[in-house]
Amino acid sequence: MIRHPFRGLFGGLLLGIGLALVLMQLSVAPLGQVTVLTVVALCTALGTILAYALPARSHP
Amino acid sequence: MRSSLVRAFSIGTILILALAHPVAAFELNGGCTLEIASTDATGAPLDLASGPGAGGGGTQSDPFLVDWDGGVSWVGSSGEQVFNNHGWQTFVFLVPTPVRGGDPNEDDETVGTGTVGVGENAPFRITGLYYVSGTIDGEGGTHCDGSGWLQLTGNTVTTIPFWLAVLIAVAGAALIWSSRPHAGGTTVQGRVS
Repeated sequence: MIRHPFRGLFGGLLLGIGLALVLMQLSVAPLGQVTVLTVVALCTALGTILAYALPARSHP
Repeated sequence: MRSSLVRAFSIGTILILALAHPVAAFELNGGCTLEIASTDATGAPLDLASGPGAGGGGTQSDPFLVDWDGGVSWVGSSGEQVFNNHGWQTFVFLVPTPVRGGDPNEDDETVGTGTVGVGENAPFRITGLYYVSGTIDGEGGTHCDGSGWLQLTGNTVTTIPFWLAVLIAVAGAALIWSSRPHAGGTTVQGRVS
């Protein structure tokens, strides 16, 4: 089984940055001043975890 | 000729400096003070904030309102401190920004004033709620720091930066999806005729 943890990490980082930028521009900051850092950290961790946890791709 | 990027940054710089330099905004420590006012597109008063002190505005629940087509003016004082050979740094949501610098302040100035048009040189309209903070340190241990919330008013979903942010998030999600594990092992090489 070949895994891509760094791709997952980078994807999570991008997702976090994008989500944080969306939240800022929508004036949504549920965690106050740490909203951006928390969202980016959580998404980065999520991306890394999903790179291991997502079901394997099926090949025809 | 300055690039559009430099111009975009210059307006952002001035706006953030209005909130964070030479004294940061609203929650101020170190003896510095700041009074700040914004106007709308017609030049009519929009919002006021001052610090330090309760009820000055610029909090998350009562952010300092800024109109992209309007202006911002400020009066800042470093109190009894004189910031010689100082350096300053700004942050947005605690993330350091390229907006930083320093000055020898050879004239020993302790008061700064200014006015700037918010979006007059920027290529994109930006809206949203932002936590801005900053610090300034000078010779002899002089120091001030502070923070505040500002809200750029407007319709977010009609701005380019919003959709760029959506695009970044979607790209990230797609990258995560493509990071799914797959079976490895033998590689079959051959030609299809």
